[in-house]
Amino acid sequence: MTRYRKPLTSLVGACTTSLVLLAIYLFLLAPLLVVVLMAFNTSSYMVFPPEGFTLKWFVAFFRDSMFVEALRTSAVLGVTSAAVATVIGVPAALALVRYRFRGREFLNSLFLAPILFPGVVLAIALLVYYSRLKILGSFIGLVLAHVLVIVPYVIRTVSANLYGVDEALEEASLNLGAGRWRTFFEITLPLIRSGMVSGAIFAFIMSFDELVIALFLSGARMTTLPVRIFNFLEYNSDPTIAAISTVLLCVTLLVSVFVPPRYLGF
Amino acid sequence: MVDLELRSVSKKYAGSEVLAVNNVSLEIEKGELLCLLGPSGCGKTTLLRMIAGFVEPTAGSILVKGQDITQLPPNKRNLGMVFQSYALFPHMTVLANVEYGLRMRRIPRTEARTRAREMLEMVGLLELEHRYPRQLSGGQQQRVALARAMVILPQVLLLDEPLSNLDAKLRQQMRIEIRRIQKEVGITSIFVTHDQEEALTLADRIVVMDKGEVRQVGSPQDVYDHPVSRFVANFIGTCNFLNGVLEALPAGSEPAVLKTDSGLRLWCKGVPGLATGQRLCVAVRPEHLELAPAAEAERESAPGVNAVRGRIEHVSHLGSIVEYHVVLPGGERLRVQQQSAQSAPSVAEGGTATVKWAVQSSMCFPE
Repeated sequence: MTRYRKPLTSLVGACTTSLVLLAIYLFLLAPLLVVVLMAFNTSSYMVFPPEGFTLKWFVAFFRDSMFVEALRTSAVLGVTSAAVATVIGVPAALALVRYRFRGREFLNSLFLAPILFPGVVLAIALLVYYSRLKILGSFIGLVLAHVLVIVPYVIRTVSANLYGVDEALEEASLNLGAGRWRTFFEITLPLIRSGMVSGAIFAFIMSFDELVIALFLSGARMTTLPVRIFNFLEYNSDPTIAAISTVLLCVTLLVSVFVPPRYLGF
Repeated sequence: MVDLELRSVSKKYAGSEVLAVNNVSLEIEKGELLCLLGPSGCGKTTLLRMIAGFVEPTAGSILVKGQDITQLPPNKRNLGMVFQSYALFPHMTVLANVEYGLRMRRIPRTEARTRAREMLEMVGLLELEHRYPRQLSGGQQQRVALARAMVILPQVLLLDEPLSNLDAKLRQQMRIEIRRIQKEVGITSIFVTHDQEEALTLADRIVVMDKGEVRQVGSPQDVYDHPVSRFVANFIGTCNFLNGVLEALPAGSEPAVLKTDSGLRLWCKGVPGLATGQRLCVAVRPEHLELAPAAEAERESAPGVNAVRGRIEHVSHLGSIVEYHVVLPGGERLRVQQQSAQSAPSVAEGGTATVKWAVQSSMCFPE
């Protein structure tokens, strides 16, 4: 009898698993869906279910020069920070993985420190430091702060990639007559490209939606989008926010659709 | 003509007490295939990596065609290397892999392509030139690695255990293949292996290494037939060892006498400069032992021929040869190998038999 019952049990099991997974997905994604629906809602308040269809909140967003300026700032900040973090992170990962030197362990944990540090503490520390250096509220100040936070992630993803690249490949290249630089560009770089690109994308996204540090360090002239949204929400509650969120959601989706999955490290 | 010369090369790794390579001097003739043979950790790979330039010697110098290359970086040495893991560039096709070294030497595109194709043809892989390494079998990858190392016309070809990742059958094929190509091109080669059979079949000369030192250098035949120490005798081929004390020096036509630890008296070869009472180790290869019916024991024990009675514990048929494990009364075990066709039917498992060997075929090492 058990022989006949077994397929049924496994069928029930499979169904249960699917249902649980579905519930988890719903729980995670439903709020996003609600936000998207509200962005097209005619009501001036964030209400659900929607009362009618309109694009006016999107228009409001793109008409608001402060939002557009903040979006531009965040985009430029994200790209710059990600680029700087990659340029620093790749050689750092290379050194940490490939070379044995004194203080390697120490450097390894030093590079990880920003991940373990509470953002608020880091933000306060930088606030004090920046006001002395008189770079508070400057673009360069924000870039430095974000690089500090995102560089460990670049180092992590590139290191993980680098551990998978046989050291003998680099030796083979040297043996065949390529110098150290040539070997890096011909062999190492192409083989860690996926880690590098995923690290850079990750770094961009982290910088793009970073709030705490930007809140402390940005000034009147230099406001990032998350800070602008945060300030806006203090006094307003109309669906412009939902429209912004929808735009951001679309950008993220586009990134994940147009960048081949292997670069995202999935 | 000497292509490669090592002069008192030593290596001590940072943080290590012992020398990984201890004062090694070697000369390798043009066109010769030299095998560095030894157990793992004997320093053979370190030695090869020093020649390639990946490891810096602590002392000594390395010369290629009389020119000192000790201080040259690996990319300036013009030595081809085949890695244990093949180290084929996974993001390049077979052809691009083989062309890589030529490209680094700024050889014109068309010439590079022609030379790479010629080399691929030599290893029999021309039709796979557009494949990627992951699309090839282990043996094919091995051939690409060989082609890539040889196309740059290196002064010396270095092979670091290149066959250890292949299955037994393929390993034997590739051995012959490598030897054929090496002879065809006439390239001076150094082959690192821990497999004595590989060294015996491939090498012109074998360098036996242990604990960072060279123990013996010689032709395969030489190293097999005349090992200079117990270590070499044990590492190359199989050997039976009997330990004991020298009881009598050679006298007239009579050879020396060894009294084994179990009390057995055996004729043995004299070694110059020995005194009675000295501890010795007698070694005999299994194929030099002969089995005879038990009754022959006393009659045959003439000077020059040892005859010892023992019990046959186990018989294994290894195809063309049969191996007998014989236990002597004192507890020593001997391995005896005979051609299958010659094995005596009267000698069966559990029975007794006489093991005989000529003193000439035994070896004697002072302990």
